[in-house]
Amino acid sequence: MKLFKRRRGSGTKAEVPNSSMSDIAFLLLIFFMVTTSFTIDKTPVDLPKTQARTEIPKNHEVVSIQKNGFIQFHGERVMMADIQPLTAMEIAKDKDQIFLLKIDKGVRWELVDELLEQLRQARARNLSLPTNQEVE
Amino acid sequence: MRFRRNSQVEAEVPNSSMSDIAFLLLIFFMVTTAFAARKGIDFRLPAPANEEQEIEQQELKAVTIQVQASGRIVVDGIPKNLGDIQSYLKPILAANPKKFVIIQMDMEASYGNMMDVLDELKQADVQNIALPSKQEISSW
Repeated sequence: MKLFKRRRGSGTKAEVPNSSMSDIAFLLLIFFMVTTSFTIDKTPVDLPKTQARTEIPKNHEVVSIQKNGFIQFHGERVMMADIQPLTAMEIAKDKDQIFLLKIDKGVRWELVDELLEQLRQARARNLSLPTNQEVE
Repeated sequence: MRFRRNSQVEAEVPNSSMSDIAFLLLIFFMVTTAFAARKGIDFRLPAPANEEQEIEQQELKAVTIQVQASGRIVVDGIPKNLGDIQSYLKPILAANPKKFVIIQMDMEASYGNMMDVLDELKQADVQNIALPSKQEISSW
């Protein structure tokens, strides 16, 4: 005599519920589509760290100086002397144009001084200096 | 005449590949995304014409912070640590919130040195910060 009766398997198949999978995927998809920005400058620079930080407005022109002294304006490699005419063109379009100065923290001040002088001559007024968060 | 029976298979839109498409797009956006929201310090450049006069007028009354090539900081002629700048400025700003602070950079110092000082000034809520150029300093 059999002591235990073997239970019969139930009729329903065991499966991982995946009906909400596409909902989750679309939710994440919409999040990334909304937050993504293709025009962002990806010049590799080591930004200085500060505690005082404010939000940078979105419509800006990026001017970057890498540690080796390479200067870029709107993603294109330029010479220091080109900064003033390029800036003047932008200022002619919008006199309150914001210039985002993405400068490596190791860049010599002489170079930065020259850049600021070029921008000043072109009558640029609003600058934004992006920084990383300083951890106390 | 015999009519055909309706087939048992229900008509439906095939949606099994929907999640595949969604994940494909998701991965694309995850890889290409770069968050636009950035933070930093705002700085306003003065107009080219009147800055010299303005700074010269303020120079006698202003607090002068010199940043040397080694990164050493001298505030009104007294060497100070970066952390002491705020406590030095506090009573001065309490008396005159519009006090000018001039940052004089050594040409051999780095951009990071200037940002350290600027950070302290922003934290101390200094309203008027001047950053004279090499030409301006030489003309004084």
